[in-house]
Order: sequence, then C-alpha cells, then structure tokens
Amino acid sequence: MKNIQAPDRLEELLRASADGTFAPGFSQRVLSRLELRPGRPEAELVALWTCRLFPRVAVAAGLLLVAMAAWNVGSTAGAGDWVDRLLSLPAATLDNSLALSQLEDWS
Amino acid sequence: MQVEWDASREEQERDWVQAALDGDSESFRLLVEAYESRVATVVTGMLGEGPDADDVGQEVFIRLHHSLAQFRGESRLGTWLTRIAINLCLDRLRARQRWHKRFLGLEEDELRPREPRVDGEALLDERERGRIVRRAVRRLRPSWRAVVVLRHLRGYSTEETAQTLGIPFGTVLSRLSRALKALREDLGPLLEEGPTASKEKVA
Repeated sequence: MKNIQAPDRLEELLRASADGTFAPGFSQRVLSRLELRPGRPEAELVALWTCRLFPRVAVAAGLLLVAMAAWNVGSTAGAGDWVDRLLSLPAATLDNSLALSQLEDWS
Repeated sequence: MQVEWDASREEQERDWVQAALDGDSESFRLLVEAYESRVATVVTGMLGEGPDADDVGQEVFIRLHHSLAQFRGESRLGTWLTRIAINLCLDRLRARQRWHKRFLGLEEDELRPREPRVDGEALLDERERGRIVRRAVRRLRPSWRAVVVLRHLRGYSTEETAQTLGIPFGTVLSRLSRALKALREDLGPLLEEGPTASKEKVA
C-alpha cells in the first residue's frame, strides 16, 4: 500500500527541499566581479591565453625543440659519413707513402 | 491575470536590460535579484550549498551581463539563465570528477560518505528533511540529477526539461524514472512518514 503513495510523497519532498538562496549579498558579489572584469573581451583574451592557449603553445614549442634536436642528431649522423671519409684519408695517404717508400727501396 | 502580470514583468525586465546596457548597474542588480532564487534552486540542487555553488551562480549572471544585448527582444531570460546554470553545473561536476580521477584515482561518489539510513523518528523538522532530500539528490549521477532538479525542484514540464537540456522527451522520462527509483530506495523511511502515507496505512 505504501508504495502507491511513495511517488507523490517523494515529489512533495523534492518540491519542499528546493533551496532558492545563495549566501546574503549575492548580487553585490556579482557586481564586484563585473567591476573586476570591466573590459570583458581583453580580460577574456588574457584568460584564454593563460589558461588554454599558453599551455598548448608551450607543449607545441617543446615538441618542436625535440624534433629539431632529433633532426640535428640525424644531420650529425649524415656528417658522420663525411667524418668516416675524412678519417679514411690518412690511411690512404699512409698506404700511398708506404707504396712510395717501397718504390724508393726498389729503386 | 497571470498573462497581464507576465506581460508587465517582461516589460519591466526589458527596461532593466536596456538600462543595464546603458551602464546602469542598479538595474542590473535588480535583474540579478529577480532571478537569484531561480538560479540558486538549480545551482544548489546540482552542486549543493557552498562556495562552489556561489561561484557558479555568479558566473551565470556574469554571462548574462555579457549577453544582455540579445535580450532586447522577446528572448526568454529565465529559460536562458536556467540553461546556462545547468550547463555550468554539469561542466563543474565533470571537472570535479576529472580531478578526483586524476589525482586520487577515485570517482567522486566513492569519496562522499554514505549517510546512515534515514530514521523516521529522528527527523526533527522540514529543514532537516530538506537537507536529507537534497543530499540524496546529489548522490544521483549528474545527468539524472539535472532532470530531477529541473522537473521537480524548478517545476518544469517534461517538455521544458527536454528543451533546456537539449535531450529527447523520452530520455527525460527514462532518466526521471530511474532517478526517482533510486531516490525512493535511498529515502525509503522518509517516504513512509507524513499524513498521506499514514492515512493510506490505516486504510
């Protein structure tokens, strides 16, 4: 039997529980906040920059730096071939000098 | 009579809006005071009393101030404010949930202490009863809570609730039915109290 009444009683309780008040002085607090943000577009742009865009730009810049560093390492590896070639020169020169000394000996 | 009152009120609102647009802060204060109760019902119903609710309430009116120009015509200010209030509350609840998950690895609900089952005899007055009901509403998941707040605390029709939340009529009905079932389970003994239930029991 009680379940038949329950929804009505519940709705009654819900209606009675509605609390339509903020702490006293609410409208004054709203006005004070508005005075703190008089130039809305500029203030919102600053807020947008600091809260949303700046972290994203910082992350993007970080990623760019990492990419540039990686590219540099790659370039260095490319340069490594040059280094290898340069290092191989003295050996060749050495071989040539050996060959010359041998020629001298033969002569 | 109701229509006349509504018309004069709308006219009054239009005057306040125009004056506020011209920089009269006193008119804007009157607008805030006229709608404070409506917004507070939604915001405290969704978030509970406290600084968080106050902050969201202020944000609602700050957004109103920034959008005043669109209320020169026949836009319904009350409906707009309610929609903004409910959306800001849902955003705040999502942010809370994200924070709890990220930093504590828990759902917000897991942190909230469960209240002991309601004991009918221990209830002292309407105020205490209202507090218990409001807490039970806040234990509902946010999407159900929004429906209960609009439908039962604000007194919207199902159609208005659907429009305000931007969801289909049927979704409102199903969420409402689940929410009321959960509330009935939570508030069991409290529902048996009261004159209507007593009469029924005797019958």
